[in-house]
Amino acid sequence: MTLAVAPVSGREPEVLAEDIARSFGEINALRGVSLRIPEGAIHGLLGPNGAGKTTLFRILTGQIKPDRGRVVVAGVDVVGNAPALRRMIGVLFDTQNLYPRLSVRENLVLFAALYGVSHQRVDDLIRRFDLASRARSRVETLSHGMRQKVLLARAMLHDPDVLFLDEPTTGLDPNWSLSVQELISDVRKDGVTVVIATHQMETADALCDVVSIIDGGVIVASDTPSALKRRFGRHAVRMERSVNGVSVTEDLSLDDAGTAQRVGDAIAQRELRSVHSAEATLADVFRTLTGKPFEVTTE
Amino acid sequence: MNAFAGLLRKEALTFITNKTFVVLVGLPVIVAVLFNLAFTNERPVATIALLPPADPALAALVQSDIASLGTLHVTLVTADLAAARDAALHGRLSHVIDARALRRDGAVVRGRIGVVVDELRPVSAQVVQSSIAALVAKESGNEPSIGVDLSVIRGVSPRQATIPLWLVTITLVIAISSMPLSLVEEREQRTLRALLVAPTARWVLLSAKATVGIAMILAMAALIVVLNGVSLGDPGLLAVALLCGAFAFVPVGLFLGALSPNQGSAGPFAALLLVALSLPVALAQTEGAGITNLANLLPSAALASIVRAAVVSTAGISDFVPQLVYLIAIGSIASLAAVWALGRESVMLT
Repeated sequence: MTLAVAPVSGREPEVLAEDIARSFGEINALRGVSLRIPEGAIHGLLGPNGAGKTTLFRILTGQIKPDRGRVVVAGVDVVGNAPALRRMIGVLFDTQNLYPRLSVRENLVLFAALYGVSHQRVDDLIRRFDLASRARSRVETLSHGMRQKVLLARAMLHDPDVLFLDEPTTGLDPNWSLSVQELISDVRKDGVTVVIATHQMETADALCDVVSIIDGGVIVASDTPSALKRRFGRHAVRMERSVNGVSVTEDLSLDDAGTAQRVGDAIAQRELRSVHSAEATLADVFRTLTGKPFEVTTE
Repeated sequence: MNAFAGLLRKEALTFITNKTFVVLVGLPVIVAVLFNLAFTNERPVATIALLPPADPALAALVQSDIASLGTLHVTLVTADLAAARDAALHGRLSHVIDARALRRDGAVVRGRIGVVVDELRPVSAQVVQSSIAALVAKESGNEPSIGVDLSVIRGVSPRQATIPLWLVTITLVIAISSMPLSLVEEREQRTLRALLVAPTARWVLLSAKATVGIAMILAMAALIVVLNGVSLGDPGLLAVALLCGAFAFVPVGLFLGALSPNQGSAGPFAALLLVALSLPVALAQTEGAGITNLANLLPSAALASIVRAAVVSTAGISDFVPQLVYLIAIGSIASLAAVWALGRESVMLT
């Protein structure tokens, strides 16, 4: 099932993928994926390992060619026009692929040279991403979160139209994750379209205007996170009771006709301690859509 | 040009901060130390060319007596004095003993022995002279009947004889061993993917690596020559030879690196290629025609022949046009292959 995404505006999509398929030997990594991402949007590709999101990511960034289908990014037909595409996009990879023995600034200066960008731009980004105090430090001495900031700065060096971020917050502690999320949110103020491939539900929920859930090489749903949760998430409350002095917690579906009666019984029997709304998560959405839990393995 | 300059700077910084760099810079020093140690302990055995007497029985006797001395190692037996001197001049052996004027007179051997010694090999020259004195005493008996005519040539010093092989070796080590690892390291730390999605042509990425590799080869070769105090026959030809050799073999190393997914696969293959290119050339200096014919087909042999000539003679570039063209052709083909290999989809996926 492939669902069309309602564009945020009426403009032409900044990223357009039509019926993309790609196999590796006998493995069908993608089986007819379509996407329309409007300019200035933050779009999430959400799925567990092996779902096909990395393959889709690589096709969208011109790293590999699809077996079938058409991809247009920032007005450039990706297949056969990779050199033109590379000036339009910035890519943050799922690994921290910096030169460890070079300094932060040397890493950025190298890519500034490759993209024909001035050193002034490098220094501006170093200040904007709060890297000035470590600009002359070797990358190998930086924390994981700090390196992620350098990678983000590198992807932004040439002021790309579309920014592709592969697992931008994976492996970061909550503080750094929040910091990187803020930077990504800040980037959209420049009018940049952002595509995020991730298996981090919280990142997708917090950042993305629209999330496409991928499983088994197809997009099984695509909409805003709140709409997805409304349509496919469970509507439930969490009730805590005290039974013979023992605390018991139950999740009760609001779609179940007997829920109101059970809460009423708990009140009548003076067992009720608390009732909270249990908001649906994107993991719940995934479970509802695919019939299986959202599992992520460490690569 | 801006992209190339940026990549060149990155390559230089990466190379200098790599521990391998210390090993490479240390190699010329190690060579110099080992050589000086070897030369101060020159073995008291001389390699000679022998021009035997015309009388077969006397020739056999002289050869037998020389062998019994245990100090002279006959590597060439010939009747051609010019050929023997030429071999000594080019370092294939050290000294010449001309016994053609000896004749048997009853039970006594009479005549003269010509001894040509290489002044650049004083230890073995001394061995030759004392050995000949012993030989004369043995053949003459109590009455001196054999005179000795001593002449001196200036042949090839042990340093000159051996340095060309070191120069070829350092070229091959940097090109075949270091260059693939430079590319494989980029793949393993995933920086190659970042470079390949940047708007820079693959040949520019490889050119920057090749330039640093070629510069390293020339710098290391210069260090070897300077630290060992080698006098060069034709420094210009040596520079051209090393430049062409680096141009030939650095792309071969980059091609190997572009094909290899990791250091585990690149290392053994590079080592095998290194042995395949260098061993026949090394053996050709001392072994027979079979090895020499095989070695002559290798591009490393073409490089070795030019380097050797540049060190020990004053031959010009025009004498080595086929070899230089051969090296440039190898480099051109390997360059195209490396650019192709770097663009394979499997490279993008890793």
